[in-house]
Amino acid sequence: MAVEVVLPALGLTVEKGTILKWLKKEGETVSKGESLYEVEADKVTTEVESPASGVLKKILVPEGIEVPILTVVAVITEKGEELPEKYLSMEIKRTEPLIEKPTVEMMEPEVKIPTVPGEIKAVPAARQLAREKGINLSSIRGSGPGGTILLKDIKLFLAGKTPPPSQVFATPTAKKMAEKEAVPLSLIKGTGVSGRIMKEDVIRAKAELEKREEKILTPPIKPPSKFQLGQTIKMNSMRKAIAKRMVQSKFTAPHIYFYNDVEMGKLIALRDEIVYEVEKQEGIRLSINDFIIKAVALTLKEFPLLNSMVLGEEIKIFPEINVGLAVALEDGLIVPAIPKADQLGLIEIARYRADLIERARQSKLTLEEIERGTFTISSLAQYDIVFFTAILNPPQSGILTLGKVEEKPVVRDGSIVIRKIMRQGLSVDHRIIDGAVAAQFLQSLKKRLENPFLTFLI
Amino acid sequence: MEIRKNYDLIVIGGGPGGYVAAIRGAQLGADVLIIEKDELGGTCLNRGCIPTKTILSDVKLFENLKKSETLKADNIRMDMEKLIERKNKVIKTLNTGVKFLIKDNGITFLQGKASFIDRKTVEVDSKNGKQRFEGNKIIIATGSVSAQIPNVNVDGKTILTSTEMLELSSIPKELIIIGGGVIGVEFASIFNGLGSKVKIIEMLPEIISTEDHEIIRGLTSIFKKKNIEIYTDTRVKGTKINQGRPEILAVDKEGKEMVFNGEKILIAVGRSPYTDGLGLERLNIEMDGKFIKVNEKMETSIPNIYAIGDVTGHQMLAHKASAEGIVAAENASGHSSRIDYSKIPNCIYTLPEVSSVGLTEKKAKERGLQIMTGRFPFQSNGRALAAGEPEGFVKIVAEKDLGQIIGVHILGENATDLIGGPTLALALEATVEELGKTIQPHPTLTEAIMEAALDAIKQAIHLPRKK
Repeated sequence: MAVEVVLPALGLTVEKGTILKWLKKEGETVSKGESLYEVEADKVTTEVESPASGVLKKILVPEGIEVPILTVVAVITEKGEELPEKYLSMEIKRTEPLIEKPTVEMMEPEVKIPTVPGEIKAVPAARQLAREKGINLSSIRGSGPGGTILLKDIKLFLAGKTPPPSQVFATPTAKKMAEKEAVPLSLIKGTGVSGRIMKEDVIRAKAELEKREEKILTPPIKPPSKFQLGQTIKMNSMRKAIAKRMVQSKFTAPHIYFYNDVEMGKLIALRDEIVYEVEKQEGIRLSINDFIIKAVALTLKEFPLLNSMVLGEEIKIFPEINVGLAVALEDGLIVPAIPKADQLGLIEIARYRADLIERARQSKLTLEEIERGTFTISSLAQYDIVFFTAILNPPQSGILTLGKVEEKPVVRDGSIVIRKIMRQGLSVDHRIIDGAVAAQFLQSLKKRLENPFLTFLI
Repeated sequence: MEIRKNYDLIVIGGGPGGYVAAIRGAQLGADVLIIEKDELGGTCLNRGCIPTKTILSDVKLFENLKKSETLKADNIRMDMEKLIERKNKVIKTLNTGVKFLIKDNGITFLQGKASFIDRKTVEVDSKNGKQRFEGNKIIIATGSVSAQIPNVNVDGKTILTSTEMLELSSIPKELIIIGGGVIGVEFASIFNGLGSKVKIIEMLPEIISTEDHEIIRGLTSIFKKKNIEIYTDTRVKGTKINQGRPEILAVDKEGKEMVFNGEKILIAVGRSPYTDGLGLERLNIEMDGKFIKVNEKMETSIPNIYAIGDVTGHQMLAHKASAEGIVAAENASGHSSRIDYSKIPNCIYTLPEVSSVGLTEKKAKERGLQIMTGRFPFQSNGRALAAGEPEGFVKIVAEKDLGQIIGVHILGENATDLIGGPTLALALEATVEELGKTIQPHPTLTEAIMEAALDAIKQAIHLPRKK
């Protein structure tokens, strides 16, 4: 099957990249992980690896052409496989003479970071050459993004030329702020003299990250501006279902509600510490919600009654813990569930979460995904809601609500200190769950979220 | 009239904004014409910064000799004619220097008055008659003139502006200064040092009102000790000549009328942009009040025309004009440069001097910033005492969370030279830790800056312990 080679996202603020050089020719055999082409973006040059093994069948974007990230730049096919026809029209022909680019060796990357001891990043081609020549990678300074050692760094080393010393140029204030806000300096583009990272650059990068974050967690929903005063609207099928189920829930299950405050500082710090590395390695960005889903699943295991339903005169405890996520849509609400969340790792949860939310918005969920939920989580944090009350999603007996995490003054050991506080709420079906049980559930969940190392490491 | 020549860049005005822009333009390969109606160096070199500082340094020596407990000189007096002569010599030396730089950079210098014919063409009225030049890019750097106030007629004899003050051949017995801004207080120091009885009339509640409050309080009290009278919240209604002596009519905050009289009156109420005869009306250029409106790239509303320096307003400082000149010249040469006004130092050449960079404590609080402050008095600094200059202090305003230094304010000996280090600290976004832990030479006045930074984090060594 043909595999598309796309221009990867090369950095936080990078929107386009220029293909400097194809390291393979059309028709050449390539193996997965081998360097395929050199790309330059924001004055940083990097090598991009082949996503698959096969034949570099067609180069769609020639050298010297700048294209947006995620553009398909080439196609890799299996041996003997024909190029699918749709790619023929995608080829970019060079119409203007190629602008002379400075040679790679002469370009000084703008942002460089020192290699962390014990963890050397290098592209596979560089690794291979180093191995062949018996060079210790730790003696080489990488000039790629994040200090990654590129093939050219090894070549320069072999030629006896030492690449420029690797260093992050950031002002003291910028360094402190980046550390405090957990924004890696390697992701920040400096605008000061010689690319020095200034405080403003950190603020901008942080906003950029947050924007990205929000997009991932909650893609923007258009406000329902289509409605007009005096209008009568026919309910669509989803609205009818929501209406029916909410009435059924509210009038059959007597709701009781509980709230407590959770200190989120440690959990946020844990997540911030690992998020970039995880994203780099796994291609998925962990959100705080992924941790909460996991913690909820573990707490449900401890309190199975919260993971049950009323069936006639029986209480039926569900055999699985499937955590539902309330996803707001333009025309309503849908609750796809992550199956067996108690048994999944954070990364698997994150993948499910991202995929389910994405497909919910495209109306591409399966019936099973919607119906398998045994407990629901609903968050209105993105709308600055501090806390709220939810109606049970029948036949489930519990629903957790999440408010916005806010810095608040709290008293600890007799002093007023600032803590990141989230108010969580729990609605339960009082027919089968008493106040004390619900309260204990919430207390246990709070403990899990406040002691993340204990919760997620053991 | 034929067009004589087309230039890459025409700079109108040869002051510290204009000539610097011309040199930067030439460095970047432009064929540059600079037009100046008077002498290169502008107000700064000929009628402002340089002449006043020349006079001030002699006045300082004079004042120090008079107050010295150890040097005994009888009958020391200031020879005003020699003083003015020395001032003119300094101007001439520097002027020759600027002319050399202009020539050395291959810049064409034309002495004459410029006027826009259209957006590309400038007509220059010089001793060779009228000539027209075309410029691909034009930088307006025409500067400013002393501002006037209603009902006060500058006659150049008894009611003067700073320009005439610099040519006085005798020391007036009394000098009344209208305006307690930078120019007013500098002249107050000069003539107080020369022995005049000086009074300052200021409309606002304080003199040098843009500085930090503690600095204002400090300078005000030093001035009072030197018998300079300060009348704040006092508005001048008009002047008249009574038996050959000028009189000022003013009202104070309560509406009480006051009359001041003295030998000379100095009008020092700021400066107005100078655009007379420039033909701006033919350009339909966007203005910001009396000033030419520009963006942070020094671009005006008209493509390829830039404006810099006093004619654009903001702080009217030579070094700000020079910085803008460089930005304009670089943009005119196809680069992309921007000006950052947040880190431009201010200098006031009083005795002792005042300097500052960044935000005052009040401004920082108005912006809602959480701050910490540190202070160090020169009274506790060895070098200041040794020099017999114990007055004043250093104050540092830092952002509380990260410790970033956002303002430094100095009152004291050599304050204007001392502000260079803190300005670099602000530009590099240093925090109080870096400024406090950078080793400073001993004994120097710079130690006071280091100690003030340490004081902000309660670690100053030569201060009583902070609880």
